[in-house]
Amino acid sequence: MGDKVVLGYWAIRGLAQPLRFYLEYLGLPYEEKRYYKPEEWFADVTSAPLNQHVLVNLPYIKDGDELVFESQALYVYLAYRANKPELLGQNPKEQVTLASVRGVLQDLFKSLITLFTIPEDQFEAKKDNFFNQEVLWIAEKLSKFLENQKWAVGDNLTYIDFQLFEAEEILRNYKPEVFTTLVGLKKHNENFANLPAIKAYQVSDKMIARPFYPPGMYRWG
Amino acid sequence: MENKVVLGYWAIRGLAQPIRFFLEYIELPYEDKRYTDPQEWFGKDDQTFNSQFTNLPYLKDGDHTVFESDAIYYYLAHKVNKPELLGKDAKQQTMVATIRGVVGDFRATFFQWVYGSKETAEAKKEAMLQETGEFFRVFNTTLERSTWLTGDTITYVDFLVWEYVDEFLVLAPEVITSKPKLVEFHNRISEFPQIKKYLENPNYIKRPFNWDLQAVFY
Repeated sequence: MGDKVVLGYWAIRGLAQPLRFYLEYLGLPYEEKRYYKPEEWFADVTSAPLNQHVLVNLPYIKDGDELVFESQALYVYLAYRANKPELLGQNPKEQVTLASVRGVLQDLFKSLITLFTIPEDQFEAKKDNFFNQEVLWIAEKLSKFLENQKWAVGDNLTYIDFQLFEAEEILRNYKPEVFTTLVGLKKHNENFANLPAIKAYQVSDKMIARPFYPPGMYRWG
Repeated sequence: MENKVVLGYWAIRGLAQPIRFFLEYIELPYEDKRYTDPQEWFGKDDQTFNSQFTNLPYLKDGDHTVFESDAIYYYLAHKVNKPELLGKDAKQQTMVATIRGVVGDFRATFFQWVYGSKETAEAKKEAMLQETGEFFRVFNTTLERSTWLTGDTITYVDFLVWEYVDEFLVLAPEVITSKPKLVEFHNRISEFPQIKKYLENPNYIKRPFNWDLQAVFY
């Protein structure tokens, strides 16, 4: 057999980028359905099989007849699909730590979105203050947490490391100088980028380097 | 010898209420520590933890403290040896993460209104009810297809959704009463003996759901 799973998302980094890295790392044969225009997504969402599901959204994984939605659920689904459940946390301690890091990381992503959706006429005036007061302190918490360990839950890689890397890439591209002080994030970022599957993917022609966010809707991306 | 776990949070329902329900459901003895004054927490208790993630809610178990509400359910389920409450197999664990994601999207929509401008709250209420109504429709349809939100056995995300169903039964009852499976789901959990007892306990917080100083609805 060996049907490929299909990852569906916009043709940007967004929520799917960590999932692309994840699929590469898992070594699962996969295809991408990249939506370049809202009309393309609307066409799919209003026809079978998507129109028969209740929770339809982007990103999704299509695996034969199976359809999975909600980005966090895709990491769970794919770990089992690739027979690598250790990426979900190998024991209760790792699972609890993973959930804690995920909670803090989600606050960081939320803050970044708020930053980049400051109204256009106020962005230049407000961006530095907002970054320093609403983004940096969360990034600092994560950075200090990571200073004394290799991966988010300790010695073992889990799916949350993939999402952490994306947050680091946003920070590194938006404000490169933060890595001078956020040494924990810098270290994690370098370790992750050096994973063979990640290193190879980043120089491949499948790699989307930019934009991080939908162009035209966000102040930066 | 005091070996109860301690749940710390503000004296509101908020993020802690489903955790309180979960603790009652698993029948784990606990202390429900409520911070009524921010100065009890900020600069005082929050300095006593040795963690980068110090925040409310927390779950203190002897020398160990867990932060982040979602992580607390994972900790508690393993503590009482009931990992099935996190999803008993790959399929249900995937569904737990799916529902949790949808709850996150619901919260983003709802709390933008709850903690938004008081001046425009009334004007924006109908649009908010439309959007949140969509989420409740999704939960209702899901319950038409399975006994619980993630399958045939209960998981912690059922308690997350119960809390918002309960809140909307006060805020905008018709959003819920128009969805029979949601009503039945709400009653089903309320009728668990340990939950029924908890609902009648004078310590049970009926209101406020949210921060009464800042929220447009609490």
